[in-house]
Amino acid sequence: MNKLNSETVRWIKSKPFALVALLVLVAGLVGWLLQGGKTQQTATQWPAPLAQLKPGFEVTQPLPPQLKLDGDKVALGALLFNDVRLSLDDTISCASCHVLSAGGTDNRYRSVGVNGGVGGVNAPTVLNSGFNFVQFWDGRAASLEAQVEGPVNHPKEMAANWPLVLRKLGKDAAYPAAFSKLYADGMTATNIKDAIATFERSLITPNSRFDQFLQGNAAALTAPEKHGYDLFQSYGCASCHQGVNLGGNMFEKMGLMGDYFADRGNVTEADNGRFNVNHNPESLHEFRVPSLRNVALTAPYFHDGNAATLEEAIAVMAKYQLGRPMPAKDLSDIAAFLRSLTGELAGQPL
Amino acid sequence: MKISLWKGGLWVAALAALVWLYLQSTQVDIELHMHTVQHFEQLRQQDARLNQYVLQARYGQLKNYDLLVGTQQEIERLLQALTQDKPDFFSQGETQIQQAFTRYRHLFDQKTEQIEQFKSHNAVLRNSLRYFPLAAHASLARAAVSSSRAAQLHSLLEEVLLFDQHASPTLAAAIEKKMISLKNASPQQDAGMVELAKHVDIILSHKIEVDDFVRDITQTETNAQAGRLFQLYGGIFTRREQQAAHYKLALALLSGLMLAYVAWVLAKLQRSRRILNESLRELEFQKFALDQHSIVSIADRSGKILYTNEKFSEVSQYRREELLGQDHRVLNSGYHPGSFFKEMWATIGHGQVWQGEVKNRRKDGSFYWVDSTIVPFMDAQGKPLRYVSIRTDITARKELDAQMGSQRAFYERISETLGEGLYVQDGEGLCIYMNAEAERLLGWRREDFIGKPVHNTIHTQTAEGSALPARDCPIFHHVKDTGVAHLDDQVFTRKDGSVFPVALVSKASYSENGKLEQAVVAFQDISERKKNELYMRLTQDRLNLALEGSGLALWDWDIADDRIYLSAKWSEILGGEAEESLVRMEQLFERVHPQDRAVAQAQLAPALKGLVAYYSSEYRVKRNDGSWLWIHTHGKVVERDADGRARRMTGTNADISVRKEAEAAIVSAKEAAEQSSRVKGDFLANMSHEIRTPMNGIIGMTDLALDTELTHEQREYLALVKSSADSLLHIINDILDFSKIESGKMNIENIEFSLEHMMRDTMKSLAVRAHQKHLELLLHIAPDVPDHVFGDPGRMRQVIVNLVGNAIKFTETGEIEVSVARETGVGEGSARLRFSVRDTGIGIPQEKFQTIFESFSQADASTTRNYGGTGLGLTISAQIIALMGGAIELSSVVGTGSTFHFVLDMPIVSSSPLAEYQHTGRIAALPVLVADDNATNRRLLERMLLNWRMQPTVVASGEEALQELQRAAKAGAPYSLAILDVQMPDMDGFTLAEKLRQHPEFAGATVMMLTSEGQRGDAARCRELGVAGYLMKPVAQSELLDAIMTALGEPEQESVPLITRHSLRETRRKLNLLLAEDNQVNQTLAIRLLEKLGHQVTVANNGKEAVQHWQSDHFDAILMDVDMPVMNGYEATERIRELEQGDAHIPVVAMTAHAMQGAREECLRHGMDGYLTKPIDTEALWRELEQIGRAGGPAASRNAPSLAPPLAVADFAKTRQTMDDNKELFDEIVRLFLDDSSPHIEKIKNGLAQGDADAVRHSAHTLKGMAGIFAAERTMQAAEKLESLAGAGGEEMTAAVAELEIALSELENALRDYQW
Repeated sequence: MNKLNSETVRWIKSKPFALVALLVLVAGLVGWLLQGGKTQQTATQWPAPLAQLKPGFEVTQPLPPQLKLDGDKVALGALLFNDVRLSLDDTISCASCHVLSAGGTDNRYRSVGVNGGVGGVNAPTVLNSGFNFVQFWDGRAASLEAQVEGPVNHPKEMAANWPLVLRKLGKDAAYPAAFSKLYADGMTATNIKDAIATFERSLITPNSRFDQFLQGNAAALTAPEKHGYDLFQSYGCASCHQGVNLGGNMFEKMGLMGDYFADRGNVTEADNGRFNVNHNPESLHEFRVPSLRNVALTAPYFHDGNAATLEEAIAVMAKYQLGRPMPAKDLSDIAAFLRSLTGELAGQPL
Repeated sequence: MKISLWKGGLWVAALAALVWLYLQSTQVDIELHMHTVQHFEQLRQQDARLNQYVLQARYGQLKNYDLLVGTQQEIERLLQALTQDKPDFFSQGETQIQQAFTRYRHLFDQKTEQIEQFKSHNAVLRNSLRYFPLAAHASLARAAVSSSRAAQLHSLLEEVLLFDQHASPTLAAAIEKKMISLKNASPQQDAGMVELAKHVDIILSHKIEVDDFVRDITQTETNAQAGRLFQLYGGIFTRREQQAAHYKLALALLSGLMLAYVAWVLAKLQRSRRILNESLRELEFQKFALDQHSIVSIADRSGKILYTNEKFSEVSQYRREELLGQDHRVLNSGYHPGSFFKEMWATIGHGQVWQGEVKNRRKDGSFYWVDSTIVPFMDAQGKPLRYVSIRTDITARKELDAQMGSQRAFYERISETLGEGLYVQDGEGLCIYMNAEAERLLGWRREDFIGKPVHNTIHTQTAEGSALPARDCPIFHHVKDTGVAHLDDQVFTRKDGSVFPVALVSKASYSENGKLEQAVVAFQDISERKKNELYMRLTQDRLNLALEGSGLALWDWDIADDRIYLSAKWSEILGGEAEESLVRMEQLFERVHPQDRAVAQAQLAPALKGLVAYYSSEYRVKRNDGSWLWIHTHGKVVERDADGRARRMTGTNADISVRKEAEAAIVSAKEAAEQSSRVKGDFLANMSHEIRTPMNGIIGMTDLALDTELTHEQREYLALVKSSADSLLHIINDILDFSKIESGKMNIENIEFSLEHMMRDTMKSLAVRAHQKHLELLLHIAPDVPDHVFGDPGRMRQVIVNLVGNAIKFTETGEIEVSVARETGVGEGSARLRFSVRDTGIGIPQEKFQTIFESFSQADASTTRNYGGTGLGLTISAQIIALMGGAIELSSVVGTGSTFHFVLDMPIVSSSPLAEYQHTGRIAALPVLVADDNATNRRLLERMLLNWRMQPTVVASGEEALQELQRAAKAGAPYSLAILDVQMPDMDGFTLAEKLRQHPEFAGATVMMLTSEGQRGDAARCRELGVAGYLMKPVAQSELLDAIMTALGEPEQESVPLITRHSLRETRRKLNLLLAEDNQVNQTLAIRLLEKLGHQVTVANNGKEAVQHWQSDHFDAILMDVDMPVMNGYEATERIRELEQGDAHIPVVAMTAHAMQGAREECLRHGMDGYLTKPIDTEALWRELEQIGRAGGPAASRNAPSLAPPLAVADFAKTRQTMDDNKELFDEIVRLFLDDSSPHIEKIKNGLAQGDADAVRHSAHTLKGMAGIFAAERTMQAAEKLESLAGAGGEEMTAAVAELEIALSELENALRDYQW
């Protein structure tokens, strides 16, 4: 036999696929080089509802009828918002404390979480929360996404953790499928938060009688209500409760003109407000100014839930924030005005 | 392989380089870059807008903060977008650009914080500014405002508004001053003014703050920092752009290079294929050429047949198509082992040609042989590609080979079977063959020996040892002369040089010209034969000599011919000339004495039949002179025929007349001796009876006398009388025992008894004697020794007493230890027990070991004088132990001490109760301190305590004990129990106990004392010192355990109260006794004794009277003398038993002076229940009576309703069943019962005293019901009786109450003791 043993031949003979793969690879490379190599990358879209508003220079402006949001994510978020599996023992969902039909709150002095845990502050409304500049009474969450972390992990609220939640939701085939459709990396804690936050941003309540009034329908408000709106501005309420949400875009100290906490007594750590976040003495007792949208529905009031009625709340505000007397007539008109702020959720009057 | 690896590596490296270059060239993304540039532009704009909104808000142009917030959010969004796009630039980090980004981030956060504060403060400021004028006007509008105040308010208003526009410290001060004066001037209750002041305060403070915030916000260098950041970014991007261009170029070049290489490889591949095809064609041709000549097949690497030629099919009978694709294994004949093919595959697998002869199988199953050559063809890597097999058919040759081989083997086999050494040498005298036997005999190995000159190797010397040259070789010469040689006087030399005699045969073959061609030599080693010849000769000589000397006549009987050869000695024995004779058996038997003939003949039969090995018979024969002579004949069958019938028998006849005479003398002497011994024994037994009767009087009366008032002198004399009488009795007893042994009348009982109790009681009696000599007497029973065994406790006690008594006698200082240990080596149900008595006495010299066991001897005759005693004790003991199946052995060192020990196998009744204690474990793990100066005692105590799993610590003195107790107390592990020896040097036990009592830290320890000698007042002293237990040594295990359990508050397992004379009197039940005794002295003695014990005695002078008394009166028991006139004890008892009705049974205890063995049995046989020997031992009497009293039952008779038949104290099984096994319930009920029972008894007694029948009835009824819970029949019955009797009054009632009390206390004890 002649010596025909070429190493190459043997190698090629034994690895024909490797050869083909190599050819394809090299060809592909050459092709790419000729093309000049372009990739497509998109920057993150900041989904702030405020950015979707027309610039408003007056004290306030009407809520927009709707926002541009991914409808699928909103739907998925709605599912999650109502899902008790986000809690340790499958008893509490977001909706447990944020009852949409009840103004986005549970109308309790304090909410009750897993195993009867009682929270430290009154639950704020979830409605129109997308317009708030920060979340929580003390503003410790910069976004709605960040806010979701709070209740899920809080031992007195849902008392869960992400691995647990992911495990539980993962057992329900529908979730992973839905997530995979909407997110490249499927169901993750980040994406759950994103979906819930997106849903929450969709919770706006336009078309209140006040909004109709602002849009030019002078008949939308009664005379006392209109008078109440004037008083609202002249008393200085609007100094803080301003912007599209009539609040929710600044911090303010509780008890500017008097020591609210000394008078109320029984001061808790939660009463420290923003101080708990930045530990700046200047921020002691500072809270996020709450939105007055749908305020008629969200009793009891203040971070401590200490004011049971709207009138009570207005009186406290006049005394401690405005530092001026308020005749009963004015108070009732302002209250009447505030009651005109109740809007519609998804086309249904609240 | 290496090359290929290297190449592979190169390829991987090239691909990696491609990927790396690709990644590097994508570092620059223009579009992303454009995005980033855009972001920076937006960032700059938004920042500017933020400042603008802040200013607008400050001056009221912006009515809400939404825009401000929106802008902040937008900037946040831009920063996040930057981080997302270029995380390695715009994130926290260490590079220059990252640091710049971090700085920007920081500035922005700072700005945000300031904006937040601005927002809050500004809102408040705006509020106050708006409200201040309104409030001022409101104040003005109030009716009571004076004009000056109004002016002041106006001025204040103006200044505040001015302050809003232009804040200056002077203005602020002025406003403040004005405000204060206004406040002061206004009435106290003017709330409006207070409010106004607050708002002024806010305006003054917030105005300045808000302006500061605005200034800080607008001056924060965010914009400038953004510019710097962008500049840095731009620089880096430009550099990256240049680099990416380089990488792209390199990528293009590398790709091109690889493409070119691939093209070259493809071309090369094409060429290689062509060459491969050519080679294959060449191979085809070669194969064709081969096919024509041989059986050819080709197989692939795995052995699969790819090709066979015509010849292959021809030979194998397989068609080609049957073979293709098959393995060569189809041809496998199974002839070759697996290793054969393995080797083949290994060879060809390595590319080497293999050659071999293979046996194959044809299709029809027949075999064929081929000479096979397999040539492997290798591929490029050197692996086999094809195997070409070329074969030639060699079947014919193989068959021939096989034939020849088998022939050769046949001859070899013959030569090996011969059993003789065989070698063949050629004409030159060189070995050409040797067989295995020759190898063995000569020690040469075939392969070494073949080719050697035979003569000079193995046949070098003569039998005498002189050298034998080849030319003188006798074999050679014989063969040469006669053609054959038969020699047995030659010697061969082994390889090792040793020499052996041989017998050989040799034969030679010659060639045609007469030349010696071959010589075959067969030989045998005859050294054994030679040795045997010599031995035989010697044996014969010896036998003859022996026969001659022994005087035995030899006979040899040919049975078939019936001829007996008799050696010369026989005729000599018969008194004739010494000559051999030949007779028939009949003739021989004619001489045998007619009386012996039948026996002698009968004895022959079994030997002939083979039933016995030897025929042996003694008989008389008539000598020639007519006298008779005793002959012992001894013979054996030495030959039998095929049917087993004896054919020949040989043996000897011996004259045993002398022996026979001696035997006869011995027998008559023995008979005489036996007779004399019997007479002696009977005499002694009689004597003993005769002596005992008066001895009973002496000892008993002396005892009684000693208990009376006596003068000192009298007491001394009487004590001497008593001790002398005791000694005398002891001697009499010894002699009696000895006589019993001598006359074989000593029998050993086999009854059940408690070993521990027996030992303990025995030791107690000895302890007094030991302690009088200040000797420690120790008893140790190993924990594995079973307690209840079968044996003769009385005799064992006697032996122990004797051995210990001796030990005490011969020991002056030190200790005596009695121990029982269990040894292994007997079957189940029995225990092999070793009893030892060790002393530290004078010891016994070795040479006396034997004699001391002999009658009437001691170690030294002088010792008898020193120590006294009959010297019979050891003899008796040794005999007793021998009768029990043991032997007393002795080891001793003179001056150090002796140990007597014996081993007995005793059947076990039940396991030791100690085992049960160990199970309870209630005292387990308790720390105990033992203080004793005696080392053996310490060791014993330690071992006992360890057995109970306690934790003993032992110390040797009181001082050490104190130290140890202190140490333990300090360590926080104080002792629960301290066991102290009373007699210790330096600090005795009492002193130590006193010290312990003084120290409160030792209060927790329970103290127990052990003493060797009790002193008067010890008990009181113990009580005083709070000592919980006071025990006499030697302490038995169970006694100590009981004491510990009691001391530590545990209930006693078994109460063994210390018995004293006084306690006896108190505790015993009073009995009504009938004494049947004819002897006046003994009557008096017994009456006194019994009455002293508190019993009532009625005397009967003979058996007849006894029966009469028994019939007319009620007695608890009868003490019956055996020997009485008119009617003896046996008869009387039998009579009573006859007359007894139903279950009634009166205990009858025999009292007899017949201390002989069998007396007890005799008594029992006649219906008696107990047995006492005279002189009456008070202890034994008490024991018998106690048994009667305790049993209660047997003593009952028809006249004694108070002594109820044995009824159950309680039936706990039933109770538990009733309570469903509920322990809590049971405990509760027991507690209630124990609490309630005593008050009821009190009530009954009171009721009795006051004649309140109802109260008695009621309580009795209640008790009955309560007892019913426990199925306590006795209590129930007693209570019932009392209930029915209530009101009757009198003695009956008193007795009934007493009975109930007894029954109740029994029940209470049972309840307390009951273990769930």
